[in-house]
Amino acid sequence: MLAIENVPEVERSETLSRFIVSSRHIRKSDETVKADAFVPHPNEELSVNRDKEATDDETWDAGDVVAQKLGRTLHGRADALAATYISLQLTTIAAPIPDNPNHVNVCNWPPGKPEQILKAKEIAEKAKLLRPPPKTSLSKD
Amino acid sequence: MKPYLNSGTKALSAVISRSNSETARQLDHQLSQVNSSLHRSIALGAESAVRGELTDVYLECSEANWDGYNALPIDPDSFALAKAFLMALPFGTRTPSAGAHPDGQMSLEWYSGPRRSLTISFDPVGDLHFAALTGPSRACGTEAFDTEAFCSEVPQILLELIELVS
Repeated sequence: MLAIENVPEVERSETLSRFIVSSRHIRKSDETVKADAFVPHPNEELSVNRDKEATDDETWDAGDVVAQKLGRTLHGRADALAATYISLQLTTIAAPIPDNPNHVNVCNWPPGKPEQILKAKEIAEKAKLLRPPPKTSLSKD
Repeated sequence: MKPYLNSGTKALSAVISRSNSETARQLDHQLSQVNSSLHRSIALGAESAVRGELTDVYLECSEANWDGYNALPIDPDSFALAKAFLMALPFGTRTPSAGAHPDGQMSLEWYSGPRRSLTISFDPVGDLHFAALTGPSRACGTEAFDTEAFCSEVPQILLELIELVS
């Protein structure tokens, strides 16, 4: 993970993960993500997690933290390049938080709900759904 | 199936709306009940297929932060609007899936594959916000939906988009 005191700007080539804690955001028919998962909040920011200097396990751990805080299940993550967001005239702002220096806010959403949904649909089209790896417990004999 | 019932009741509604008599009001009420019960009885009606799912989503998302990112709870008026919209869809309309948005609005999605989908978000004030990907084209906008009307009418553009992505 990044060092919280030295967080660089987000580059186009970075992968940004949106953690999915609602099973309804996933289409089980073809294992794709609904646009609903990318519709921003009323404060017009969308929280995602960058993969810079993070292992895959660390990224999943960040998702587990989000899910555990809620008492919900982590159903997966939707990965898309930062370039996907940027090509839609959205901005990706590094926004480290105490327990996650890799946190990023996607900003500059249009004010209109229809335009927000349209951008969310375009992101969802490009995003790849990853399911959490099975949990393994190691025991010492 | 053709949306024959909606067409017929709409025409009758237009006649009734020109009268203010008590008889007309009673007839209006009875026709509304007939329309509702017929809609429920037809297996292909989208409303009957999705209504349970819509309720499930409403219950699942009725508390704040249901998505882990500080989402607002679903507004009861948005839920009611989505139900009324389903009731107004022509019989035989392809069944959508229900969802929720972090601003507290219910959503319905028609999806038949990559770049062929329509999402409608139900604003508690009575507006339908929609966006669609139809191959290389895209569309979005807002349409009003009057739930107080005798026979609420689904905006034509939404019917056309549902057809396009089905």
